[in-house]
Amino acid sequence: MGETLRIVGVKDGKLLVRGPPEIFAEARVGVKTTEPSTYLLDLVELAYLTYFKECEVVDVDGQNLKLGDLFSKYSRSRYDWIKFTTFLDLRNRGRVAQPGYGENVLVFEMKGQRYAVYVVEENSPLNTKELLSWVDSALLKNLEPVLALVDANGDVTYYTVRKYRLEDLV
Amino acid sequence: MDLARCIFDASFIGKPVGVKKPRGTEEEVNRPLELSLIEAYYLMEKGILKIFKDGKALSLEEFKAVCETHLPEFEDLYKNYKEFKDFGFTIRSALKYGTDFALYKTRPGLEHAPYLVKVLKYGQVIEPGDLISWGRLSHSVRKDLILAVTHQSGLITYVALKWFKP
Repeated sequence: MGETLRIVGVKDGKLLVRGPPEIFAEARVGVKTTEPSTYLLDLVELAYLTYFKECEVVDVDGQNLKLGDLFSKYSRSRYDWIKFTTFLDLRNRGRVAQPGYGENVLVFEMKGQRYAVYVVEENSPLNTKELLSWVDSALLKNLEPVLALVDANGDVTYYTVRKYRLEDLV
Repeated sequence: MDLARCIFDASFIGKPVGVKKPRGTEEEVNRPLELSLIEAYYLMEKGILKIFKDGKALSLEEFKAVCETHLPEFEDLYKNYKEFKDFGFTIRSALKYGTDFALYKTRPGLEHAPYLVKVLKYGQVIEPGDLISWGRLSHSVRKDLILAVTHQSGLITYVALKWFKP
């Protein structure tokens, strides 16, 4: 078992976690707060530290939380699990995925280009209006939009999504 | 037959009867031309074609009703067809690829169609599984998949989906 991380609270839907700063720095997760050794983490980041870095997570009430407990207790979005799956997949590919600006968005950088990954589940229908609005929001932030489709076994397929004018196609 | 030859030769609309992959050879263009409903409507709208039923010429509205009976998505499919055609693309059916149109910058025989088009309504709900199928198939035949999201106003937003390895 690795280092111990202690959940000390919840702020704006994120978890306040106390632990050795080098753990957060090495895993490139979380945002440092003004409290000593305390970081603000997305659920998927803490899950990553639990699962991949084998950290022990202790809840506010002193209970040890395993990966499943963490999701049972702190998941607030139906996208959390597939976001975690995609986060892991990207990290396994050597991409430093980080939580993005929406409940199902991750961001990462590759070859100088920053990408916004919109995570969608195999069985969750997608509205074209929602898709276009998300593409626009990613482009406004100067991020290349990528759609990540997660199947029932947790396999992730990625597609870049680009808007074109007819003139661009000839 | 002369008109059929002329239409096919000039615009590559339709398909000479019994020719699987028309390339515009002399023998091919001497055959009668088989038009899809969309192609026929396009030519009718342009004033190139008249359609008769029981000896009476159909009006554009009457023929549109026929098209809508057979193709529930006719309106959006036609909007897209017209847009591509007027822009200069050659358009073939892409049913075999599970999409609506295959677009050629020039014409079949001279190049492989670089794009497959799936026409969708703005606000339409799509299954991610369908997206995967269209995307996977278009990637396997080395074509780009274009989603033509058609707004009620007539505006069309083109979105290209390309398989990506992060």
